[in-house]
Amino acid sequence: MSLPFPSRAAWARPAYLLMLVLQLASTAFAQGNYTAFELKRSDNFEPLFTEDMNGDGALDLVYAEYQEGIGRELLVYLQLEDGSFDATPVHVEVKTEIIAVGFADLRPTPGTELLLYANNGVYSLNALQPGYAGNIRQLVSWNLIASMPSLERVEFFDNVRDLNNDGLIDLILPGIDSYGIFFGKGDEQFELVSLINTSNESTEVLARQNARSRFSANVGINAEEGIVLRVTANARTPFTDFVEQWQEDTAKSALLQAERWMPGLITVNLNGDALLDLAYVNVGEDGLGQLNVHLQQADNGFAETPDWFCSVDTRGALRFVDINLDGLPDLLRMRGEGDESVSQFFLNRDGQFDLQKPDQVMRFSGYDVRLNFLRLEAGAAPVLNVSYYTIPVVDAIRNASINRIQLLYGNDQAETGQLFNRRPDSRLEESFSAANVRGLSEQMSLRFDVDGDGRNDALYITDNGTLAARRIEPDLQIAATPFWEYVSTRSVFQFDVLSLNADSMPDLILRHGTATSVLVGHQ
Amino acid sequence: MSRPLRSLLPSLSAYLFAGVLLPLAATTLAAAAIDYTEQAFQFPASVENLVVADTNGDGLNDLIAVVDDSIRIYFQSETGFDFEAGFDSVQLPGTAIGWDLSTSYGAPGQAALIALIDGREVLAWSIDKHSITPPVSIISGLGGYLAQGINRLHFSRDVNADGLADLIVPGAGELQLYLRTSAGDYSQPLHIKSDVQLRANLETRELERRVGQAIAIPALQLRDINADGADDIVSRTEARLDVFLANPGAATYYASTPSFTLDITAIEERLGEFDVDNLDFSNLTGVLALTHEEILEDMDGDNIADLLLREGGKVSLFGGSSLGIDMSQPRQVLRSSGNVLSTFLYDENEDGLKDLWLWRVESISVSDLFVWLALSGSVAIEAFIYPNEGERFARRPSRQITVELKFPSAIRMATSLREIRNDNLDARNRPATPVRIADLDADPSARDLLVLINNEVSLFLNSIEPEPAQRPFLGALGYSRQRNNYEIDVREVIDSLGAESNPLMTRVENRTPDRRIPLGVSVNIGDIIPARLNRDARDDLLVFTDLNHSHIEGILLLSNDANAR
Repeated sequence: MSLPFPSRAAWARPAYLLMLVLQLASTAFAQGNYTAFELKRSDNFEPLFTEDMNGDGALDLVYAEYQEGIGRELLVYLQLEDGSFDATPVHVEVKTEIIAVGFADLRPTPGTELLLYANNGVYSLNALQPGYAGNIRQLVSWNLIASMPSLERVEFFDNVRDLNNDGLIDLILPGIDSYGIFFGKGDEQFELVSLINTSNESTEVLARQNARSRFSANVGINAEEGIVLRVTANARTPFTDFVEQWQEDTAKSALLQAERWMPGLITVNLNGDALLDLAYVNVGEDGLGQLNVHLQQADNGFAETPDWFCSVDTRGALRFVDINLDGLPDLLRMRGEGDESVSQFFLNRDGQFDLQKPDQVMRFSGYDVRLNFLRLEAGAAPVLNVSYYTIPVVDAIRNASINRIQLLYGNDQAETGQLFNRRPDSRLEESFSAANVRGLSEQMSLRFDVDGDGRNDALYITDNGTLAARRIEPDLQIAATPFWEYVSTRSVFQFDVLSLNADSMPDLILRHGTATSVLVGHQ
Repeated sequence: MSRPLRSLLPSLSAYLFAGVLLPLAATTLAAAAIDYTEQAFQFPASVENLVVADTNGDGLNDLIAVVDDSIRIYFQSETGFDFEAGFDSVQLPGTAIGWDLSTSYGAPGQAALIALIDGREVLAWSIDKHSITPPVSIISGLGGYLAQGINRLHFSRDVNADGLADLIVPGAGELQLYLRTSAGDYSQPLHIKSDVQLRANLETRELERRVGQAIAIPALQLRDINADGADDIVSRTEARLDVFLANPGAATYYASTPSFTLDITAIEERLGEFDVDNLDFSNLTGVLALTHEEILEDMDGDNIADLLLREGGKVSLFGGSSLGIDMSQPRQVLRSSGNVLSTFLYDENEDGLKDLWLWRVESISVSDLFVWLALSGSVAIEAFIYPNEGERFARRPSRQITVELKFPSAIRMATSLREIRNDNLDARNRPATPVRIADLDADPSARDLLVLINNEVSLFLNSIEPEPAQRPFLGALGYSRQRNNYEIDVREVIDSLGAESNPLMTRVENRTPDRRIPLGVSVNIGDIIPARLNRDARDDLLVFTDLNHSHIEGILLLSNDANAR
């Protein structure tokens, strides 16, 4: 627990003593209302999944491990009734042929099944039923774009959705040349309904035409050159390395170098018709980026060609996000150069976007600018939360530091046609130096309601590496002191707030340096 | 004319004649002697590379290209190529194919096309004059993996030097070596761990991201570890270092298990796990104590590799013998304080024995990092040299070298690198001037430069001095045995990069080309690639002029050397 160190006179003040007692009480509340489980893995920052594997309504922990002599395994820690986890995990062998693993509830038996992706098809497996014999079933035959499994690592493939809102899981599978869209028919049967090629020939030739420079930096020490510091920007043409003069039995640096990529397809409900649509960005005939949308048609799946497309400026990042919180995805484009960042908001208008005319443009000066669009409580107006870092150069000699900024924009004074106020309603600036560097490990998050009171809190990692929450007041000011703090034995570097069981209490996953704490809250 | 000047004239004339006019005349004559036959070529746009090889043993190199799902061979005849009809193709079965060439499966002197199909079977197509014959199955029932599509796979190699091509089949995290026997069949596979690099992304939530997989499999590393004249196999992965010693003359050339293994996982467990909770913020470089290095190199002059193992600041030397490395007892252990960055072996005192160079870096704190965000800084890197005393290294270093690494603030460095990157991006919109080095004339003492500019190829003969066989040690620092303090200024490196034009072009600035070859076509997207195609010992030139949606176009310049006919 972190408390401001008081002056000697302050100890005598009743108000301070009251505050101290209240804070100690709230901390005790925080510590006492969670069942903590510490998970130690060989690599603590590998993906950790929460799935209900046994169908008891409580989410279990699933992750992949590799051990020499044993190979790849999935480890499943089942959640117990009291919110703790079974100390002995279920081990599921991952056979050599399997490239990726996903999760879907496919069988009538309770719990989620594993989806096993091989280079020639997708299979299902009940993780809690020992062995593969009599357990594994082929769902579809499909040549996956990835062909080689890793001996040590398991990829996770979580792109499993009910696309057509029929209550059955569907599959979107990237293949050698195109995506295959398979609709679930029940009883682990799937039907290929659409093939969508997200690449085009123009893309390939244009990509080769543009492959004209390669920027690289290399720092190292070796016996041939001693200390090497090499920064190079090599001009390349599409024909660099185009010709190989074959000589038998000469040593090559590589046995094989190969790659196959295509624009990724994402699912998004663009027109609010309860059927998920598909979108991707590739290169259009004009050589510019092109946003393509395939709208799902009732009964017919997706057309081979896009229903709608438009040119996009692919500089910076483009993503779908519900900006005005009307339930439909809008487009956010963010472009940054150094500490100058420009954000453009494009509202969804009947499933289409006018990318020439943003609905609002906002500029920020800082590094690692992130935008979140939130409703702080049910029914409240949308709020824009902007976070970034600044480096005060002038103060560097006297006191080197990094400033972390949180801005909150309401929309009560937004100009006509604009989505958020021109100026922030609140600004929180915190300074970090070598003395309190632990607090920098993750940005403050306003996405979670940690105490379950229906209103989001500002959750952050303290200077001491503990997790704390401050209230966000109705005027959008973030309180100066925390109302809640969780002190764990190890420093916290990442956190997530989620629901791991059926109750309304938020649960927490705290990532430490070498372990993860899973905290299941209870009343 | 004054007397002194008059007396200088003969020597000046001699200098002009011998030093300037003679080379100039020689170059002019050489330029005149260079003659090319020009042929326009066109390949389908899907062709991603060309392999130059003599497939039918006629002494003329052919061109091999992957066109969609087939392999096409453009055969060269005495009159050159017929790019419209002078080729044969073979449709490849399967979805994941790796192909190579080998002289072991066709008529003597001919290279057959061989392909690993879906990791399971190897087929060979031999070449009969200008035709590809039907395939023959070489081996089947394999358990390999490959990338989807048709890939160049360097999987045919004579590993055991018996004159027969062996097969190296990529598996999941391993290579499977099939040694060919004199009877024409293959031995049971030897499984060798391999550091297969896979990068896969199968789904995305971001619009710009792509899905797919990239695969990089390092070649089999062959080295004579125990100085018996036969190549041994060295395999280094994240978990272990395996050495398979060759047994020349024995029934089993390589044993199925490694002759010796270094357990890297055990080393890492000994060193401990990185834990941010225990990180010393006043000495971040202290994490170097968790690093390790393994160097297999001869230190005692018997040509047999010894093992130098560095674990943090502890350096252990294990002696090598004809049977491998004796791991039971280190021959020597040295311990260094401070943050040891790296070690290597290099003969510092020029006595013919490699000395131990141990590099340390000073402590860097979190406070330093905060300061360097906004202000420039420097870090001292020190090398301590332990002389080789034959069987061991001296217990104390004989020399210390300090390299001061100066750098601008992180903000400034990021800005500079961003500007360079942007310049490079802008350069995409400007036509590049392709510049290549080639051997165009009969003079082996100097190489020639080619420039594709203004729709013509300019030849600058003998303009490139041959690269030295060995780069000078610490050449970038201007190293000498007499100097112990050096400096690297990162700002200067970055600034020089920003100002640098094509370094090859600077070699021929203000020089008139020795020969110009007008192409007679407009170059849209161009390049010049030298290759040896016909029988002479001079480079021929593939001059590319365009790449569009349907075709790759260009002009082939085949050298005409009368002496080679």
